[in-house]
Amino acid sequence: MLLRAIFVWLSQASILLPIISGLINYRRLTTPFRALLYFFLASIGFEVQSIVLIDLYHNNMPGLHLFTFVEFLTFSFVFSVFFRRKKRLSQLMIVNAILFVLLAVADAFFVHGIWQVNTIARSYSSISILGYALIYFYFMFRLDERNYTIEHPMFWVSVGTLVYFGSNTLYFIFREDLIARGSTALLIGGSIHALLNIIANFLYAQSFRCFSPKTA
Amino acid sequence: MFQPEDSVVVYYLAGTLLLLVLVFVIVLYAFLHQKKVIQLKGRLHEEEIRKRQAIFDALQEGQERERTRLAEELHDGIGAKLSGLKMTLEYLKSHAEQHRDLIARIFSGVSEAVEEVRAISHNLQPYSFNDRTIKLLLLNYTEELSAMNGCRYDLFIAPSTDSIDSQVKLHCYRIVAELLHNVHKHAKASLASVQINVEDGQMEIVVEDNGVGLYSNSGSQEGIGLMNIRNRVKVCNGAMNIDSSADGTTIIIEIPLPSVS
Repeated sequence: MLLRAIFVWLSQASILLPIISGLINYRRLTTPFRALLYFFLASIGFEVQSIVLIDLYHNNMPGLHLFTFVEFLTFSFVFSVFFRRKKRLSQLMIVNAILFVLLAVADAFFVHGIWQVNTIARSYSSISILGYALIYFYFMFRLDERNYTIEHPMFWVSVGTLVYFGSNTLYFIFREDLIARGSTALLIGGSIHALLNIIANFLYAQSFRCFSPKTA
Repeated sequence: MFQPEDSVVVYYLAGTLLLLVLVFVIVLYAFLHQKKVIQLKGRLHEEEIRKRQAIFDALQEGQERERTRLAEELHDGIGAKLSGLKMTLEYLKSHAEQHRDLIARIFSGVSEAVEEVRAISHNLQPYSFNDRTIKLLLLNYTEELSAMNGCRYDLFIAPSTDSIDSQVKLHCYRIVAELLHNVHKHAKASLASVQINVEDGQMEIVVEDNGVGLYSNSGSQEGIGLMNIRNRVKVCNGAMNIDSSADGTTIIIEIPLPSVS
């Protein structure tokens, strides 16, 4: 339990990494990356409300529903700016966003309810964003042969996305089963989730670092 | 023993592991791709430099050939005709008492034209005459400049410059001549010096003056002459350093000399 507590605490604190990196390079950030920074700043608010709601009502699920909604829209916006020249893909992303909103509302009010984990919305959001990241890698490696890869901030966002949303998808798909298997299984799942969250935040921080002035 | 209920945990762990392997493969591929891109960009950059150098060399060669042709035509064509006219007028001067003054004026004009043609021809292609040293050529040039504006030009040219590659010698002469032309035209200097030294396979050219500085008239912009000099220095794989203020200008140029194979 102590190990889990440490992991959870470190996972929560790691959100400061991309925030600090983003604020340092704020003036040089482009619009999608500023949106990403604002999302990370808002995440602190969501973390705080989650802790408060757990203390007061023993349930912080409403915040998670809203967080999922904001998270999906932010990452969709970031990737849509990168894909803006691909007309069909942009149209598909808009359709996907509408579908997600409908699913999220249905999950919150009809399927699981606002006080339960929004497994469907969260999984759908994770799979979509994972898909966007994989499409990004496809375009980067196959169609853009002559540009540096690791100097692109989007590269690090996509790797972070792959790590975080990939593990999220599996975690939320298997979460109820893990709970049913007992505390050990949930501990393993939760710890891995927290660890990958820390790694993802490192990668997001690196993406903001790509905006820092280059020395010759 | 393996419990069937544990399969969920195993699937979860396996899935997570697979995901991490995928991420690792992608990042590794990105680093290798980066290396490939860096090598490609390096090769393209070298190719571009080689191409630009070849174009500049070709342009310079064309220019020099054109100058040689013009110099020869001026000297052999117009120069020869004017010299002929001068000789005719000299004969007339001694035989035509009636129009002696007029003839004297015509004779003087033609003499000046002949001298001007000779000077232009010489400036176009100094090497088209004898195989003179840089020191001698610069001496002649600075004497002409000094006669026009009274500026004193000091030359300190090492004897070892005589044995350098003729192409480098030509570039050296052109560079110094252009710099001295700038001093003459813009610097308003009373004293200028030129030092050319050859040491450790490198030629060092230092041109100094006590004029008004490079940027007093044109703000922060360089003129075409200075740009041409920079291009020449680049073609020779050399380096140029300019230090200019209201008290004067010092330009130091270092050019590596081609090694004798």
